[in-house]
Amino acid sequence: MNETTADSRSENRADFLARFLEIETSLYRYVCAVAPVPQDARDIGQETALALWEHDDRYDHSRPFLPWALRVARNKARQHAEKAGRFPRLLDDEALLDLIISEGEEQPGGSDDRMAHLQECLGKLRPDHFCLIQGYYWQCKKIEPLAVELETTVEGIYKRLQRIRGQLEKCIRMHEQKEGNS
Amino acid sequence: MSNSKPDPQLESLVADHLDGRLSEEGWEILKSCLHEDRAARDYFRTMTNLHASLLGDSLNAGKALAKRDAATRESETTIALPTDRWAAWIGLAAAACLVLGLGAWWWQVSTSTVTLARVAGAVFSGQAPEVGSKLNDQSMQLESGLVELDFPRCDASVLIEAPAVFRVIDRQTLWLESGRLTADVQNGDELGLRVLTPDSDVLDLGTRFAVDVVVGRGSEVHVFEGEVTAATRSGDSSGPARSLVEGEALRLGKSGAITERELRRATFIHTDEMRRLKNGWSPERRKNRESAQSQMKMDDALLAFVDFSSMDHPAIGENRGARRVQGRFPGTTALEFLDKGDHVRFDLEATTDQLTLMAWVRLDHNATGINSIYHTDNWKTPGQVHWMVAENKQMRLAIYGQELPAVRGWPESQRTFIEDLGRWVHLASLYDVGAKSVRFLIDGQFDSEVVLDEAPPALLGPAQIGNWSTNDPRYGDRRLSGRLDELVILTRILSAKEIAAWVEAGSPY
Repeated sequence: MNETTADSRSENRADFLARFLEIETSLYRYVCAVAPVPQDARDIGQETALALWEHDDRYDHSRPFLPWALRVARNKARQHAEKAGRFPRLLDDEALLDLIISEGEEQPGGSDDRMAHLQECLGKLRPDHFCLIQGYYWQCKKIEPLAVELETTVEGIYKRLQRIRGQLEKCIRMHEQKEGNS
Repeated sequence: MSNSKPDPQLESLVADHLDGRLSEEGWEILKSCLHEDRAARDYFRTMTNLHASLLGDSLNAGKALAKRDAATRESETTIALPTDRWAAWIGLAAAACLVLGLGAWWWQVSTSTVTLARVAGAVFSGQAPEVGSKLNDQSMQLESGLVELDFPRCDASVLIEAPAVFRVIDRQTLWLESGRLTADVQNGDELGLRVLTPDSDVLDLGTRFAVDVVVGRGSEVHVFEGEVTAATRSGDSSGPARSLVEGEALRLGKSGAITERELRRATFIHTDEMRRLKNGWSPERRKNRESAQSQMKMDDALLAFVDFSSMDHPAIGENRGARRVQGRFPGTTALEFLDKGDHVRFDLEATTDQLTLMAWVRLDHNATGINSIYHTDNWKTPGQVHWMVAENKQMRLAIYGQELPAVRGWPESQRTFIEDLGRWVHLASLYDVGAKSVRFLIDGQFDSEVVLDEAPPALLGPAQIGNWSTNDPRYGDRRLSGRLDELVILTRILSAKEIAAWVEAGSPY
């Protein structure tokens, strides 16, 4: 490999990473909307990131990167669904999915602020709830072992997850309101 | 996202979608909501983004852990925050458990204590605590009205209705010696809200439920949403726990007996109703009501005005199981009929060509669907009176011997009562022999009139209030499932205007 080629690759990689980091949150949100189950989202996210990197030479730099990335994510979600036998439901109504995304773009409030509030709110969770979030979202544990571990039913775990998410959202909203009033 | 709480069905559908367990049918309903309603789409997007953040942003998790770590001031554990988001989970997860143990004590001491959040018409025996004050381990006797307690540790609000005796034991335990409560727990599970009664030990798992201590019969647990565990209790020991989910109810008796019960939802006052009742319980409204009652008591045609504050009325006979509970207003009394056969004997010893029957009720479903209000004995004697909300949920006034033109059945209101479950409703039925008609009014509003071919005089002899009991085993439980307040019977036809004014003055809302 000569020096010029190596420099060029390095520049391309830096350029790709800059573009990728800019759209990463939106991309991941899209993946989670179409394939919300943690393991699916994780796999599709990783496969998408890899495909974007491998096929970066096909990307038309004169066009926005996000729509291209979302198209790749959609294809990966479809491929993943075929293998898993679970069709991502929102992909059967792309007009609805587009509407949900576009309305989100109209709304004020940066995702960075919400992320900061989420950190605060996670810090306030009671220990056992924190453990459930940790097990389900970060340790990729399945529901059944979590139910055994936490000595409850599978239904009980789902109910708790629903309540914890509701509680976190309420907490984030309260932080936002507090900031709005100050 | 707006501040209003999302529709529970939408909330549940979105949660099922996020957890990958939404059925085809559920998806069709969710899709339809999302297409039709911008607020639903906003909620969906907000929750999906939160879900994505929890899944994808490990750095946040690390920072949250770091906050716990700082709070403990004890941990020397260094949490390495990975910079690669897509691969960050594993290291953090391991660190989480370490910090979690250290963070627990801080969390324990930082949660605040139980406070008296709100009151409506509350009168305590002895010194009344102030709104906002912390409640310590001291027995309190609520003579009338409603109080709401805030349990911040479980993010729970508990509404207690008088008459009740209760005590806050600690930040997540309440002793209910008598009375009833509804609990709305946002943050419950095995460390959730616990309610102890003389007969039961109820542990919340994050839900909405009610506990009713029925003196002499046991304690009832009713689950409106989520899951609780309940066990019988005797002295300081509890029996094996039993799980109850949404729609289930149990009575736990003193002897350790456990009986399945029908869910009673309307019997209990819920937080949203407390707000409306508080408005209706103003001193000015009370003055209007008392003035209307005084006027009614002077009406020459009045046969009975029974508000159940006293059972000394000459027409009232034996009380066979009816429970005296709080009426529409603080300090007033209504009758509640809990078990099959509960009723009060009642005999007006009168016959009339014009009859006005009025009462305030709050109704629950019961197995037969019939909520009996006033039933004279000896049915099949012309003129006997049966007044009820029938199995089709319509108000019915059946007088034996009356005939409807070319129709089988009995005069009934047009409106049904399904939508009124869970609040006080005023019912009025007017029977006029001369005009051969029955008219129905609901909440002071004209509902319908039924013209009769035959209309015998009404016989108001020996009767039951709150039930239609017979010894015939073919008939099930036909008690009034709920409360009955302020029964008024006149031997003249009140005008629509008079009834509207009566309802306006007597409404608790």
